[in-house]
Amino acid sequence: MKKDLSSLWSRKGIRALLVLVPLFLAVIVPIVYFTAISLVPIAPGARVPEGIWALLPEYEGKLAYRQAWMEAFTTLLCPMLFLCVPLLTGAVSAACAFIGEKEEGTLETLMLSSMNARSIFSAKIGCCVMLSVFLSLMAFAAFFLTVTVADVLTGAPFFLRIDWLITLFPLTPVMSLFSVVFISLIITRVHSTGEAMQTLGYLILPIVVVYLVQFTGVFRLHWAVLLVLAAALGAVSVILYNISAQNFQPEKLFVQEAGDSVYES
Amino acid sequence: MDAITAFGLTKQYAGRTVLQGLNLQVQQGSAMACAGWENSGKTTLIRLLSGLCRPTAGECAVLGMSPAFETAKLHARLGVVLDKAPLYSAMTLGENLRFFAGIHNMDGNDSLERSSFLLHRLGIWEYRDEKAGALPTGVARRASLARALMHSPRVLLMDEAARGLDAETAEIVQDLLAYLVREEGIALLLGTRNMQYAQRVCDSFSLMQAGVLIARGSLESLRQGAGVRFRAALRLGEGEGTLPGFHLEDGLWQKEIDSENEMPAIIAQAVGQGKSLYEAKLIRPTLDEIYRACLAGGRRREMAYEQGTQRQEDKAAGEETPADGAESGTEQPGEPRGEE
Repeated sequence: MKKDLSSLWSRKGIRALLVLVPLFLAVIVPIVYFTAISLVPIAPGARVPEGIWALLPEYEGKLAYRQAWMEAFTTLLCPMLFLCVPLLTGAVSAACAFIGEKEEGTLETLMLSSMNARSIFSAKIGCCVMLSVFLSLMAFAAFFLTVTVADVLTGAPFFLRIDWLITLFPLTPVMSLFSVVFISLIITRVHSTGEAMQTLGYLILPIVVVYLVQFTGVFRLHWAVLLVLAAALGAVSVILYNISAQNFQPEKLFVQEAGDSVYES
Repeated sequence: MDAITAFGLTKQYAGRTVLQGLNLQVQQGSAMACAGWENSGKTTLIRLLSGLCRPTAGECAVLGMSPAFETAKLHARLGVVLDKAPLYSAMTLGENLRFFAGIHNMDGNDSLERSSFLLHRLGIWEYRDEKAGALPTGVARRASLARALMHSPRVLLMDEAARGLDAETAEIVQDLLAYLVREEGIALLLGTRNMQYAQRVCDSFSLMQAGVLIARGSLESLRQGAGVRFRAALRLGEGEGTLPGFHLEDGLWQKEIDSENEMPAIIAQAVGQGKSLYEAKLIRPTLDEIYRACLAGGRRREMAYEQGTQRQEDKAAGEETPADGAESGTEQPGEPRGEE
């Protein structure tokens, strides 16, 4: 695990991706939004759309225009931005730890050691999940500071409530695990780290769709729904983990290469 | 006890047979080369014995363990150097060796001592603090060998040991391998297309072609089985005329002989004829020459088999068959020759 962590961190491009993208999602985007909402002049008679109050019934009539838009952003959109962080950091670290190592040829060298394939697999999964969770917590800490300052300045209600706590604690680690396991599952099908990272779209798109659909008024992501989602995703992750572990065998990992270069000299 | 055994070992990939019915035994404290040109199945054999893939048919065992089912346990006593098995490029050479030593549960002192010994023997001690990704090719190859030997394995499998090495560094590797076989008693199986290197490093050989074992044994038994003869070579003075039975090649008068015991008589004959003899040597066939002879012999048997089959078909159809000197069509091509 230590070797994988230092290997991930030593690559400048990967390090930049793991730091800058969470920073952008958790800090830059909120700052830009808060700045805009604070500075944009409000037209006389402007009203918050009824659809927003439908999604925030507990605040209807209690918040000013800017405060309402702040609350809508932190309650309805920021969780979506934040959940992209464990997905992205998990997928990137797994792509490097699994496919990157296979690309470099060192995975085969590792398979020649006295560690069995399952141990190697578990160690890599553990390393990637730990790194992803750590980066997600750091991103949340930065987000917390940013949004708390914004809430104080605008007088909006404090954002941290039960749905955020559930987003942070069961859902974030499960998202990390799911994205890491998902990437490890495709190790026999992709040939490069870049190709693996292209599958990020499959992971992020459902999150974006679910949160944006909220705005149609069809449903509101209640904290109980988030809890059920975390449990379901956790169960799926465990199943995928076992499937992926069974496929993590040298015969399947290295013989998929095209041509004679793998097994003939 | 045989360190490596294989019986009827066969491997197919997507319907293509890359190794067919291989039988092999390598004893502890010996070095065997699996030599052959491209696509002969050497790499596949190494991968089967190291547990990186499973046989389609047949069985193999290394130190009494199944590579397919006892892989981790076997790897604790097996060292494998693949043609492409790089170290971690972001770590230094020393860090790589310590990392792999840690995986094999070696303690710090043993790890330092062993890595120091190997790096000095391989002549790469001064590269211990360099990043593995920045090492020159020859150093990287030796570093891979050091990695495979860190845990003092009882068996070493090497695929293309000499690739990327110049003559001097190839000799360094050869010396270390000889030391390991002689002093540490390891069993070495070397897969290589470099016949010259195989001949220098190993004392027994399995010659392979297109996934089939075509000959097996010591150099002498292979030579006898392939029908390749020695050559007596004499360097005479200029204008000394010819020697009966000899032909001039590369400035030397050469003649094929059956045994080195004929040399004294040949030298005596040349001197007796009043020739000025400056040099006399016995040229032993190389492994490469023996391999080519085995291949040629195999092709001749295949052609004879095909012609013999054709003659039988023609006879059955009532056609006349031309008389020729071809061998009968009852022999099967590919039988290993020259076994001890």
